[in-house]
This record gives sequence, C-alpha cells and structure tokens, in this order.
Amino acid sequence: MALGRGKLIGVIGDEDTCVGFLLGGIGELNKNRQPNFLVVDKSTSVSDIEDCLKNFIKRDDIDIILINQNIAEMVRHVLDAHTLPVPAILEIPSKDSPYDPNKDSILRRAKGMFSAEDLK
Amino acid sequence: MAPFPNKDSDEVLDKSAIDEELSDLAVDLLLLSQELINTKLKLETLSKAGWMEMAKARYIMGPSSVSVLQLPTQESEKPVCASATLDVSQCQRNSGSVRYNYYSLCPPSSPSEEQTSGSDGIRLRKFDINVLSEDGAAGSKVEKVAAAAAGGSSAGRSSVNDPIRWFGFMPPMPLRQSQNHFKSAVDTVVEIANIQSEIRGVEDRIKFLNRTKKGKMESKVEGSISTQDLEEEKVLSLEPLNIH
Repeated sequence: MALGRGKLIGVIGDEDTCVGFLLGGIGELNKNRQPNFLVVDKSTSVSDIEDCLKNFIKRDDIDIILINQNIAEMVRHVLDAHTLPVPAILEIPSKDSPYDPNKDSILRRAKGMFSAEDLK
Repeated sequence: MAPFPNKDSDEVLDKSAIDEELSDLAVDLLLLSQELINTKLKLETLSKAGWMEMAKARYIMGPSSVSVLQLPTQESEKPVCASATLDVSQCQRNSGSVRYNYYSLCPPSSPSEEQTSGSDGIRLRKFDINVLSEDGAAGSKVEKVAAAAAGGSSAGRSSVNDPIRWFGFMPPMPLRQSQNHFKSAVDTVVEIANIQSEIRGVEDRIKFLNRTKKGKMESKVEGSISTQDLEEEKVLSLEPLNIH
C-alpha cells in the first residue's frame, strides 16, 4: 500500500555533508522557497538547529532526515521525544567525528527493550 | 475440586506461544541492530570517499568554488527540484504481526517537453514538417526516433537539474566522482531507513506481546485469588459446629 510518493530527504549537517548529499540529488526548494537542508557552522545556535529539526519533522514532504551525529548530540532531547515512525531520523557520521553506535538513539532504544523485568 | 484442565492448557499454550514469539523477536532485533551498524559504517566509507574527491576538486577549482556558496538559497530564482525522491509503502512480515514502512527511491522522472538527446543537448522536435508531408511510414520513423531519445534521456538525469551544474559548466573529474559516491550514499541512506523502520516494527510488536503477557498474568492471579476464596468458604462450611 503506497503511503506517499515524491517525498524528500532532509539534511542537517556541516558544510561538506550538505554539499555532498546535495550533489547526490536530494536538495530542493519547495513552493515557499524553503530548503530541505541546513548547513551548520560555528555561528549556528542550538536553538536554530532545534527549530529547523522541528520544522522538518512537521513538514509533510520530508520523510527522512539526515543529521550528523555530533549535531544530533546538541538536540538529543528533540530526537528522543520524536517517537513517530515518519519522518525517520538517521544519525550519520560527519567528516570530523566517526559514527558511534553507543550514541545512536535507535540502538539505545533497542537496547532498552531488554529490561530485567521483561526477561522474567 | 480439580481445576478445568482445558482452560489451563489453553492458557499455558498462549503463554508459551507468546514467549516463543518474544524470543524470536529478540533475536530479530539483535540481528537488525547489527545490520544497522554495518550499513551505517558502509555509509561512512562512501561519505569519506566522497569527501576525499571533493577535497581534490577544491584543490583544482579553489576552496570557495566547492562550498556552501554554490548551494541554492531562498533568493535563488531558478527552481530547484530533487532528483532523488522517496516512495513510501507499508510492508509486513510474520503473517502481518510486524508492520513497518518501506522506503524506495522513485524512478527518474519522465522527460520534460524539451527532449534532449544524450549529452550533446540537441533539441528533438516532436513533429518534423518535411517528413509529415511525405507518407505515413516516414512519420512513424520520426516518432520512433523521438521515443528512442526519450528513453535515452530518461535513463539518466536531465543536465538542467543536475546539481553538479551549480559548481560550473565543466566540473572536474574528482567532483563527478564525489557525486557518484554520494549517489551511492543516498541509496545506502534508504537502506538504513528501511532497517530502522523494521526495528521500530519489531519493537512495537514486542511491546504489544509484553502487555498481553502481563494482562494474562494479572487475570490469572485474580482468578487464583477468587478460587482460593471459594475454597476457604467451602472449608468453613464443612467445619463441625461444637454447640455443647
């Protein structure tokens, strides 16, 4: 059963991550001229990142959001509060910081499924 | 008084079926988690290769030639459309017990009215006046050529929408190679999204089974308490009365 066609992949990352994935063909400006990407640099505040992530989550044309893991750490509370299946938020490595499975929200949630009480 | 044997065996069967399914789902969850990590490491490898080629392109073209300055902004006049878009559908396994979303990349869009042939950018007109003046067989030949060109241009992305054009009309080879790496990275991103979605489906099923199991145990405890009360009443009623 098709739920949606022509949905976008959003990206919140450093310059090289955004340039790279936009080269890959995911970049778009919607009818309101809003981009589906945010380039995070030293001058970008945590509130800007938070607002952008929440905006991407609210948009109905974005089904996957890519976010560098080191940037995800800054807005971890927003990621942990997002429990809906769509959009899927993927933590991806950046040029400066490699992927750490211990920090991944999805894997931490999966690890939390095995609690002592459930195994009784 | 002996308990109802059928009811107990049905309850035991349900519990054992739930426990068995929970064990299977736990193994699935572990395998999917490992697959997720492996796929993310693959994404890291592809991204690193892409960044390396991007750095080479920067060395050739200049640092500001491959940067955020070339990316489209809200003030851009030209329309910017993504060539990599998603198709979302619902998927299920284990007889429908585990449900999750399945992502796939949409096929390349159909060619626009301006049909271009291959890389030379020559426009193919749909109707050739000279040919139309001749017999119908020649006209069909033009249609076949137009259809072949349409097939050729739809196989690749339109040069007008190619994001590599943002960085100049003759991008160097390292930039093209970087683009190829990131196109593969986009495919890997879709794989990761599917694994993540499946993990979520399995987690939801585990939560449902745990709630069901807990509910059954609570109802069993309540049932055993009420049975105990009945037995106590019977014992009390059977005790002899010492009147004297």
